[in-house]
Amino acid sequence: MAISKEDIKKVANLAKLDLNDIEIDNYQQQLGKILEYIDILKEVEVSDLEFLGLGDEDVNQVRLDEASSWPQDEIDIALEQVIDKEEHQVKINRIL
Amino acid sequence: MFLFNHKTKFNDLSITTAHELLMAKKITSVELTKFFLNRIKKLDKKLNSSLTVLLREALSQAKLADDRISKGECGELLGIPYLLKDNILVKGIKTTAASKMLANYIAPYNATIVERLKEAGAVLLGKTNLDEFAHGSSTETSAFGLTRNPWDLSRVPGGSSGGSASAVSADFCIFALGSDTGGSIRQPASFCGLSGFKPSYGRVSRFGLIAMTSSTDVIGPLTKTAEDSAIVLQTIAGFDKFDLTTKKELVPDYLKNIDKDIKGVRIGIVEEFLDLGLEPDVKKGILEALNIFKSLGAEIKKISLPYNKYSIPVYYIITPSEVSANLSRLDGLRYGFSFTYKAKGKTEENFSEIYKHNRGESFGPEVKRRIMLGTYALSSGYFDAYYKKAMAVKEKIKQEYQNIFNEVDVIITPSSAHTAFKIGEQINDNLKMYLEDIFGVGPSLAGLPAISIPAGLSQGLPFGLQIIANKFEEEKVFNLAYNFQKITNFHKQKPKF
Repeated sequence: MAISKEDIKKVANLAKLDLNDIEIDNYQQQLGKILEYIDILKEVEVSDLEFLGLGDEDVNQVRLDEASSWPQDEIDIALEQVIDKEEHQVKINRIL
Repeated sequence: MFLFNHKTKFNDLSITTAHELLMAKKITSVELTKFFLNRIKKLDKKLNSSLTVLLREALSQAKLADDRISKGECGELLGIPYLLKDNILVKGIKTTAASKMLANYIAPYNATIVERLKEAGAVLLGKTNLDEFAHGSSTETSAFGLTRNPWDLSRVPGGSSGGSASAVSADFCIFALGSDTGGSIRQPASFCGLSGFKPSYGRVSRFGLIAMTSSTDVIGPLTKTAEDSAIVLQTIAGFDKFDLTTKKELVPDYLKNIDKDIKGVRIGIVEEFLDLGLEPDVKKGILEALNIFKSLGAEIKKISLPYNKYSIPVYYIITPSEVSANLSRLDGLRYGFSFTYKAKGKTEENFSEIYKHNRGESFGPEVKRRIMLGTYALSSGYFDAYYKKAMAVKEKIKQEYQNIFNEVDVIITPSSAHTAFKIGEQINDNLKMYLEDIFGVGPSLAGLPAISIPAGLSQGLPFGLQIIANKFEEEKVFNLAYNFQKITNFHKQKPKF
């Protein structure tokens, strides 16, 4: 299936990826080829199948939504790695 | 009984033989640990199998293990040195997933399997190389350089757990852990002459494994014998409240019936698989192996898996889709690679641009390819045609396996159509690289346990056969592999490294 350069740019934007012109060309070709290969799935008849959803039916489990505290040393390691922080909070640029 | 004298090197030790020597106080964990650390230090520049080596930590863990042994503890992994794939978190230690994005990331907590191995007294020597975020089948996409195969340094070790496979094969440790999403333990085990086991989905906790494809990711061992794989699984398997896809039922004793004979066991052989471009030696080896199983009393039955040909296209929709979602959390703000927007002195920079810079700059080509493919497949207008269709065909593949397991107990296939390929040979042909997983993906999509064990050599390079069983029937896989290894020597062959 052919995929346009505009589509690639749109997808890169959705995926939050900076791509240069060479990458855009490459992915346009490569994704086109992969999608062409994937098209083989069109021949599979699945209308007889009751679609069971997105997970294994036998593994869904629930638990109480309870907050539990993290050990302090783990918090320290995690916070050590943020680009900027103020007290115990991650500081980032303004969003709007 | 393993014969040991002080001239013996530790290269040949399996978990079982090392355990015997430790318990008989003929060696100490510190001696073992020093031996393997020295080997890594001396020889790993040839292979680049390990990204981090934990000299001080390993020796202190070994001392602790020796103390526990002297107090009478006798766990099978107590004092046994191992390596861990670098997409599994170890508290306070760098965990990179072989990506520039996480080049300096320090894990704040332990993966559940790391906790369990620690409690069992296994000694962590370091972290092994992989394809970036486990995306690949050759360990060539690592941001920190490729890993080589000890059987032939011009060849790949397979992937994505190539660092773990290369290291066990080169005797840098007694066992290693990898992760398998579509063949990432089994194919490298085949290329490096090892036993590599992928547990059923839900058998081993994924908590602390950097997610690739959450619906098929599983952690498992790469070992020198199938029995060793069973020992490691025994320790890491079981319910974990931090991963609710793990099964609540008690884990069976995998060693209890491992040596039971296999008279009357029904083995399915997928006829059409033997025509999928197998190297002649590989085909011959698989057929000879079937004769060995027959001589042990197993019954060989021809079967067909017509839906398997759709497993790769299904996998390459589901995997990139989940990859694009799982990697969306990596933005470089809370942790990971940052394009240092602060250094530019700008405060008004568009937030979205910061994400794009951080991600575009630090992800490698295969990671970006998968994120692009997945984002496309999940995007509005394409979701039904790709993701939903793939999930429906996945269900068909699962049903096909379930039906077959009414007729047979296990299925045997080649682990790979060929032996290890040359470095650089396939890296630019991504579709060909995806087809590497042709025998691995089916069991992954269906969540089945499967092992690759050595089945012979072709022009001096090892190849494996794969044994697959129904979900949560790990014992059957181990039982067959154990019986095969009891009367063959393929697993004892070593690279001249």
